[in-house]
This record gives sequence, structure tokens and C-alpha cells, in this order.
Amino acid sequence: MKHRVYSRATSVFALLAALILVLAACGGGGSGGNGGGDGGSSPTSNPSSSSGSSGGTSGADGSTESSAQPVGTVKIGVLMPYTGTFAPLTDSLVKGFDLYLEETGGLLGGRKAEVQYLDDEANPQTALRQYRQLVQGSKVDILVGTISSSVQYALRDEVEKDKILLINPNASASDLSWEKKSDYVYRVSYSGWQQGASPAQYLAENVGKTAITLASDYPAGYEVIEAFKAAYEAAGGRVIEQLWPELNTNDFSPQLTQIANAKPDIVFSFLAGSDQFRFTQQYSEFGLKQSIPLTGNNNYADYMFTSTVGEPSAGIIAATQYIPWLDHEVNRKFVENYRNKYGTLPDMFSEQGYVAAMAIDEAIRKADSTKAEDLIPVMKGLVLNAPRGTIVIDPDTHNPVQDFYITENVLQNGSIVTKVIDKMERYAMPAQRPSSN
Amino acid sequence: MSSFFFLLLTGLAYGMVYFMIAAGLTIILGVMNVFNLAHGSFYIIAAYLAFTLVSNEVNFWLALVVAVLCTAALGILMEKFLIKRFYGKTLEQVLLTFGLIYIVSDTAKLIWGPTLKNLAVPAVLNFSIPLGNIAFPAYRLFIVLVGCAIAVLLWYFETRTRAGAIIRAGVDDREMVSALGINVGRVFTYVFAFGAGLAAASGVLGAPLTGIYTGLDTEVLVTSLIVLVIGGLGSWKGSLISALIVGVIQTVGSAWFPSVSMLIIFALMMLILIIRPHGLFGREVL
Amino acid sequence: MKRSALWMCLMLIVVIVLPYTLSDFGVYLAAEIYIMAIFAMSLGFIMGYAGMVSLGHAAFFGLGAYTVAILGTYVTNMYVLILAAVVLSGLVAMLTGAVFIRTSHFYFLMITFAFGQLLYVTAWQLKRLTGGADGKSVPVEMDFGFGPITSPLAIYYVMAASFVLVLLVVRLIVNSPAGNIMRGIMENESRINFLGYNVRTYKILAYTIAGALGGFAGALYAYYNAYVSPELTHWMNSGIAMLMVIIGGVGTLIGPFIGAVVFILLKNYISTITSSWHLIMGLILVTLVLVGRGGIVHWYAYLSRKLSGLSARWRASGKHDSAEGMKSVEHTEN
Repeated sequence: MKHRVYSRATSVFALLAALILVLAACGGGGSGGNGGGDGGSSPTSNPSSSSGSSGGTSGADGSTESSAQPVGTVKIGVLMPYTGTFAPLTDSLVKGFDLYLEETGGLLGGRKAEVQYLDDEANPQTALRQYRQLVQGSKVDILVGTISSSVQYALRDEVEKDKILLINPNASASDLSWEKKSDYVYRVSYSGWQQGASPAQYLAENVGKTAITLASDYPAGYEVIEAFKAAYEAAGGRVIEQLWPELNTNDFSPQLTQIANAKPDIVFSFLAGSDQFRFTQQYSEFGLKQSIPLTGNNNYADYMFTSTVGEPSAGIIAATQYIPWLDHEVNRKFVENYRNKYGTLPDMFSEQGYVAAMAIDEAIRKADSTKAEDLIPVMKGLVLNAPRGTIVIDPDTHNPVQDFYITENVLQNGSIVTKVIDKMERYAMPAQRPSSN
Repeated sequence: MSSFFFLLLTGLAYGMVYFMIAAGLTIILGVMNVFNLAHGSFYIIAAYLAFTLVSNEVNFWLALVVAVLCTAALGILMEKFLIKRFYGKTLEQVLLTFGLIYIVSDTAKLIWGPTLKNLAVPAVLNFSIPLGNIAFPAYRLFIVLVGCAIAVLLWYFETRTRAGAIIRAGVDDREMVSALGINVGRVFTYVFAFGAGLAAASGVLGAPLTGIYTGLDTEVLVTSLIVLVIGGLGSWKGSLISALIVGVIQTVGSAWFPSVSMLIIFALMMLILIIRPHGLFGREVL
Repeated sequence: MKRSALWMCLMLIVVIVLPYTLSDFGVYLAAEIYIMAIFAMSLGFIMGYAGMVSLGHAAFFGLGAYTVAILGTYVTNMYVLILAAVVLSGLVAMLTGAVFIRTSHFYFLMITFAFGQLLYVTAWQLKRLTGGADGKSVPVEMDFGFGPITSPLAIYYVMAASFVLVLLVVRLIVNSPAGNIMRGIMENESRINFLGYNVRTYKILAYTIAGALGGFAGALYAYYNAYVSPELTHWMNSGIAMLMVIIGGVGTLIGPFIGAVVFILLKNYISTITSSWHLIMGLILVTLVLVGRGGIVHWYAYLSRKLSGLSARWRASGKHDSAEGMKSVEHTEN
């Protein structure tokens, strides 16, 4: 490996390399357009290993009227973390998104949808690069993304500059509805504020008046706990201690020890990814489950979590906007189609992806246009018959007003089923950031 | 039970997990001086294999044995076709195994998907021992025992068997050892497989504690490297002691100084490398 | 010398004209390639010319990037920020180099790895300062004093100019007496020692320069991407820089640049088809190592030698007897 050949070879190579640059970058700029939009929900451009939805299949149980003649096309860019810790969420989300497309026969708003899926690696650097490919290379009309809030912040600034509509199917930062609100960004999932505040009243009134909170030490964690604390204390509860384990903690025994010694009435938790999984297991292993009820945000009721963890998640009380056992007509059909296509029950991320596609479909149809300036007035106040129930995109916060269900995980025939025990109707987040005391 | 004492206990138990994880690398990097960045890859291959087997109603212990054997076999292949040519060539080893990390990690994702996989604690160990207002999971106790067993195994290998001596001599002066009529190449292959097998065993046994997910392989690698560097290459005693130290610092640190517990460990690693590069118990070499 | 000046001119022309043939996205990509090429070159410098293999070089890249991101809240002058980034990285390189260089290759790899991870964890845990795992947006824009630089074309030219500048600087160093000594150290350290040179000083010098250049690349990246995060310092990022150097060819001046071009284009292209680009990258890397003839530049040289050898023999065989033919072959092979 110690050859030192340069001079002539070097210089010629400089030229060659520059040529490579020209060729491949031209190809790169072009392939953004070619590699992506070849009809329908192009399987070739879909990096997700799951989707088998071929464009143009006769929309199975078409819950919406599928127009026989598409009126033009609409280019959609889906930017999600296919690699990294959020990959499972993306997997589900895109499955839901693709299911909706299949149901409408590959049409959104009556137009043929050309979808390109790119990986942002949950990294703002990569996301911005991919964003440019979608917007400048492929010239997409509408963007869908993403999971990570920090990426969302970066994207939000860009779509404002470039005037592109961005449908947010997951990123929960409350700021996106407050200081960082944008006319071009609309969320179809929920906000960190809703995650934290929705269970608080029920818990304070029915389960326990003293709580220890345990959340991952990062902005999303701070948000959820702050909202929880305010609502919990407003309902007569008291947060006696706040624990903040680092992200990617393997061993929660320090925190569990502290909880066991402090003996609160409840523990309220918000943890990211595999942390949630390990914590729940250890909560049960270390014997706390018998004495102190574990409660948490919507992730704790989510099917993806309960089906993986199993028995240790039994008994957890949470507040969530979606579980596959909701008794609505729209949901029953959604669950059935999802199960037929993918062989498993949908989790809340699947539903979010489904609703993202639904939102685009409805908006384009109402505005009869794919241009951002026509879609924006329609997005505000948009009403959707989602599997989770009827939701309204709040014009003040660009976030859904929706029902939150208080749920409990129950062990039934060896697996976990989540049951609804109460409901917070038409739960909206405040239009302004509440002043902290 | 006083919380500090309990923390110490769980810290030591967790240290044993680290020791178990680092054991395979102790052999390959520590004894054979092969810069195997793909250590974590062995770990997850075995974990995923065991997961698939257990999901198909195979007994946990049987799955453990099968996964270890398969991974050891893979280790043999890897050594024969990839590593053999590059003994002593550190840069090539780094690049090769770096590439392997990518390959294994993506292949695993293609086969098993991106969602977290849960390898259940074997039923016979699925209980906890009450200690006051908290309980200690029996599985962790089991891991402590496993760690001790591995320590004994490594001690035996290093001091009692000829293989240990041959390796050490072979790394230092290969020609001499061959001149003694010993098939150095074959010994290297088997020891490499042994290291891979150890990594595999720790993968299967460690999986119930952490879950199997993307990024686990590099986490395992970094952890193992830390343990090895602080403890010293080529010393099983060093690995054991440094693993326990790291385990305790992490656990206690996570309770008392959560925002800097990781920092302390890396700073310690740097310090050792600067002041005492061969680690706490390593051989004075290189 | 005149010939290489000609090639240099040609390259400059290509660099200047290139953006007009590309889409906006292509221009952005090209700008990123230049930045990464600088980063790869800084590593290639110590790897190929001073014989030091580091698995933690991304630490300097990250240092440079974070300097701009963090100081940028207090100072907006671009010259100051870039200078600070370069000086800080160089300083850290010098101080750590002084300590690390005592160690053997093996340990050097490990300690640079540890250092890189130390910075990674620091960036991750000092949330107030660095934004933690979520990263930090860069509050400043490039501005030479004539107004903010925001168009893709302008950004491209700044990065291209920086790249050419660094290329020339490295070339200068490599061909200077100091550079010759460094190469000598790589080939036979004891001999250089025997000749009376302080090997340690030269190694530290090389490492400092590499660190400073790495920091420069990082600073440019902060401006380019408007966002920094701890991943920039992760050891796998150092591995990627190493990959680029290897793909292009260790010990060559232009190799790292070629490696950066290939890597980034491949990654970009492959990720539009599949999310398993890591797999492909890994296979390429393993293949390259196994074949063992170096990177693209080496392959080119190898092939061109083979070809010129063939053509010379062909020419010779038609006119002279075989003995004469062999002589002319020896002459054409340089």
C-alpha cells in the first residue's frame, strides 16, 4: 500500500475526476427525476423493504371514490429516517402511507401520485441534502416528513424559503405549533404537549396524587414532562421528583432504586426507542410493577411497543390517540386492510402515515390544485375521517384537534390488548406556549 | 437495603455483562493483536440467530449452542479468507473489518427488519429475588456466574493451555514458532474462532438485557474497546477488573452525575492511554 | 514542471466551468464534495505521507464545525470564525499529537479512536453548549465583507476555491524539504533519526497541519450545511474519511479527492435505489483491501503502465529483434 505514484497520473486524474463529477452529477440531478417518479407508488424508488403496493392496482375496498381518469399528476417527496434508531417507525409509517395509496388506486386528490422516498437518517445534515434533491432535483409538489423534531426544524426553515407544503406525520415538537409555526407545515399526528398533558387529569383524579417522572434527557423529553407536570399539578397532583436518564441507557437500576425508595403513587414515563423497551422490562424485573403503577405517553399504549415487550407492559396506563382496537367503522376497515396487506395489526405510526396520505388527498381535492398557495387555506381547519376518529387541523396551531383515549394494557391469552377506560374529547393544544411558573 | 449498596451490586453485575461482552475481543484483539472492528457483528449475528430459533419454538439453551457454533464457523471462514493474509497489517485489518461492519449490519436489517427484537429471558431464570422494597432479577445473577465462568475459561486458556502460549509467541515471532514445527496458521484459525464463539455466546446471553436493534453492534464494539484499553490488552484479569470498574462508574455515575457519566469513562480511557498505554494489567509491549 | 502547470490550468478551467453544466442540486453536491475532499486530504496527508493512521480524525472536523456554530452566536465575522476553527483544531492536534505520537501504530489507532469518541460524547452531553444529540443550527452565513453568500453558485465557488487552495498548500508541503523528511520518516524512521532529524517534531508538525486542515473542512461544512451535530465527530465518520483515502489511493495527492467524489456520488446514487448503501460500500471496501493494489489512482497507474508496456513491445517487435525490443520497453516504463 505504499505506492507513491503521482505527478502525471495525478494530473490526468484530476481531469478524469472532474469528468466523473460532470457525468454522475448530471445523472444524479436527473436520476432524482427518473429514479423516483415512474408511475404510481413506484416500488423501484421505494427503499422501504415492505411496500408491495404497485401503482394502479384497482383500489381494493376503496373507501373513497376512486376517479377512473386521473387529472394530471402530483409529485410527492417522502423524507424519513430509513436508517438509524427511528427506522422501525418509518417502516410502519410508510406502510400506512402506501396502504392509503393502494386504496385510492395510486391517486391523491384525483391526480396520479408519483412518490419518491428518501432517507434522512434522522440527521439534519443528510435531510437537507435529500431535501434539495427532492425539491430542486425532482421538483416535488408536496413533502411528507419527518420523524425527528431536530430534522423538522431544519426542514421547516427551508420549506418556508422555498414555499413548499410540508405534511408532518410525526415530529412532535410543540414549538412547531408555537414559535416555529409555519404556513407551510401541518402536523397530522400530535404534539409533545398533547402527549404530556392528556393523561394527567385522569391520573391525578383516579390513580395517584404523587408522581415521579422519568424521561430521556433531550428536548422532546423536557417538553412532554413540562406539559404533564403543569396539567397534573393543575388537577391536584404533585410531581415529587424528576429523573432524566441519558438517551441509550442500558441499565435503569439507579433510577429504579430511587423510585423504590421514594415510593410515589405513580411513575409517569416518556422514553425514546429501545430505552422504553428496556425500562419497561426492568421495571417489572426489579419488582416495582407490583407496588407502583407505571404510566406513560401514547407510546406506552402503542401496538409496536406492546407486541414487542409483551407481559411486562401489562397494567400500564396511558393516554393515546390511536390503538388498533378502536371501535370506529373507518378504523375497522383500516385494520382489516392493513392486516390483509402486511399480516400484522397497525400501530399508531401506521395510522399516522395513512392519515398523512389522507390529508394530502383531501386537501388537493378541496383546493382542486397541487400548488402550495392554494392548499394552505384548505389545510387550516381541514376535517379528516381518520381511523383514530374525526380530527380537525387546528388553524391556530397546525396540529390536530382529536380525541385522546385513556387506556390500560391487558394481558389476554398470552398477548397484550389495550383497552379504553376513558376519553378526553376534542383535545386541542393551546394556541400559545403556556407561561411557565 | 441502602441504595448505594444496591447501586454497587447492580453496577458490579452490569460490569460482568461488560466483561462478558468484551471477552471475545480480549482474545482476538488482546491476544492475537488483530484489530477486529467486526466484534460487534459477531455479537449481533448470534443474537439474531438465537432470536429466530427461539421464535420458532427452539429451546433457549439449544439456540445458544447452535448460534455459538454457527458464529464460530463464520469466524473460521473469516479468518481463513480475510484475516489470514493481513496479520501484522493493522491498516488492512481496520479497513476490512470496518467494511464487514457495514455488510453485516445492513444484511441483518434486510433479513430481520429494523424493528427492535426481544429475545426473552429463558423461563427457568425469569424471576426476581426480593431485597426490601426492590427486587434483583435472577437473570442478572446468572450473568454474573457466566462472567465468572468465562474468567476461569480465559485464565485456563492463557496460562494452562499450549494454545495460549503459542499465540503469544506466534504474535511476537511467528517464524520462530513455525520453526518449532507448530502449525501456527491452524492455531490462529482456531483461536480466532474461539474469540468469535465467545462474542457469540455473549451476544445470545446479553440480548435479553438490551434487546436487539440497529446500532447494537457498534455500541458493543465501543464498550469492548473501552474495557480492553483500560484493562490492558492480552490480560483477562485486566478485562475483568476494568469491566467491573466501568460498570460501577456507569451505574453510580448515572445516579449521581448523569450528565457526565459517559464522559468520565472516555476520559479515563484517554488517561490510561496516555499515562499507561498498556493498560492496568497489560503486557509491556508495542 | 511546465506540464503539471498545464494540467493544473486545465483542472481550474473544469472547476470554474462545471457549475454551469449542473442542476442546482448538482452544484450543491459538488460543493459538498470539495469540503469532504479537503477533509479526506487532511487525513490522506498523515496517512500517505507521514505514515500515521488515525481512526479519530473526524474529531478535528467536528471541532472546526462546532467552533463556527458555537462562536457564531457571539461573533459574526467569517474570517475570525474560520481562523478560530483552524487555530483551535491545529492547537488541539498539536497538543494531543505530542502525547499520542509516542505510541506505536496499533496504539495510535486506538488512542485516536478514543479521542474521537471522547469529543463525540462531549458534544452529546454538553447540551447547553452544543445542543446535545439534536445538534445545533449555525447562526451565521458566509460573508467576505461584501454581503452574505447564499446562492448555490456562490457557495460552490467558495468551496472550490478552498479546495484548490488546500490542494496547492498540501502539494507545497509534500514537495518541501520538510515534506521529504516526513516521507522519509514513513519509509524508514530510524534512518532519518540517524541523519540527525528530530523525528518527533516532524511527526507532530504533520499531525498539526492535518488537524488544522481537518478543522478548516469542518468550518466550511458548518457554513455549507447550516447545521452541526455530534455525528460529525463519530469514529465511523473518521472511518469514512479513511475509506475515501483508500478508494482514491493512499500516498497520492489527488487520491483523497477522487475518493470523496466516488464515495459521495455512489452514496447519493445508491440511496435513491435502496436504503442498503452501507452494504454496497462495505463490499467495495472489502474488495479493495483484498485485491490490494491500492486505490483508483494506483489502478490507473498500474493499467497505464501495463498499456504503455504493451504498446512499446508491439512497436518494438515490428522493427527490432527481441533484445532491442526489451530495451525500448525499459525506456518507456517510467
